[in-house]
Amino acid sequence: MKITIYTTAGCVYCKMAKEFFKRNNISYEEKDISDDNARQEMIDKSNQLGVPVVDIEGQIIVGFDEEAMKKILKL
Amino acid sequence: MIYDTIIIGGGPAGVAAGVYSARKKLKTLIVTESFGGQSAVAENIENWIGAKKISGIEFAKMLEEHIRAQENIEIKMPENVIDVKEAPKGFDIMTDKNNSYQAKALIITSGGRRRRLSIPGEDKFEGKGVAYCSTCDAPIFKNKSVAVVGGGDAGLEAAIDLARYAAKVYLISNKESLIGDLSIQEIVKNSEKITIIENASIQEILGDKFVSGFKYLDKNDNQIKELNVEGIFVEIGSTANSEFVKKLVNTNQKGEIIVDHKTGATSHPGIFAAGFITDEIYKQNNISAGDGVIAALSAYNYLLNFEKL
Repeated sequence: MKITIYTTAGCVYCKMAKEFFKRNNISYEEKDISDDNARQEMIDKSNQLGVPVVDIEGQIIVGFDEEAMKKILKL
Repeated sequence: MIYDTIIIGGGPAGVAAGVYSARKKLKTLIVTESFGGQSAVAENIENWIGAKKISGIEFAKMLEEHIRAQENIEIKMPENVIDVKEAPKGFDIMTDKNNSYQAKALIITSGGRRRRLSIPGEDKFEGKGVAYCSTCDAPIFKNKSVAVVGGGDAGLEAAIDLARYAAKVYLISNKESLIGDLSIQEIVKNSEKITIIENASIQEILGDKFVSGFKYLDKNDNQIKELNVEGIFVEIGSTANSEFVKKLVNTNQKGEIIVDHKTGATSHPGIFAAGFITDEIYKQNNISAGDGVIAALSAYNYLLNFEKL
């Protein structure tokens, strides 16, 4: 399963999202959006300007939404 | 089933109240959106007594672990209370999960949330340029123009955060001068990127798909003016989460629940309150925890006499 999480360094909800994946032993790729390409990719995928954005196999979740992530991951 | 006490909120006040209620063997329910309160998103906390330095996440986790270690306590999370009514044997509370719970006594510790501008465009463009967390979202506005609304400490700090990334930062204050910390004001005033606009009241946020600018009233010459920006950060303080209980207890102009600070009692018998949501002058985690203890012990004493009421 391909999971990408778009983050910034100072974003606490990004840390919470990453901890959620670690706790559930799920691997993910992190993209820091201070990189121009990563930022544009995040905006294109989510149509908005806030982090974190989580992409689980093409399903986009904006913000740290544990319930939504659990639902998609069937946890 | 009727609980002895329902605690609404999971910040330091709610958790302290919960620990003390549980240890008094009260049948207790906590209903909260999350644990940790407003500090859960803090980068670091350096004044929580007993911990030299912890992150907001660690603080939240610590509180949650402490409450979950108690017996006699049930937790409903994430769940928000939307209404409270009087019932024959105490109170009925209704939640956003369409649940209702009953208790003989209530302890309200639902804290505060960020104040919003409440102007046209704010809801529409939230997350589309309107933002509330500069440490989170500043990098998104690299090389763009942004505005920060609010001339207090939080506004000044947001402007400094943003100046590291943005091409241009407007700091909008509706007062005649900035009110934040003087040493931080100095940094802001010396920044080449930051332009301070005082005596200005923001009226409307403009844009199509994303924010493109805003209108403000320049109170110096009473003209409506417009500026082009792609981001607007709102830093105008907090407001109490007391709407759901306002018809039962007295609140002050700020919406804070007025309590007797010796007991945590509100104007309504059986309803106690603690922490940020009250008219406590000093909004501090340590004080909220202490207030939570007071409210729990008062609720305990109230319940001892409950059957006689």
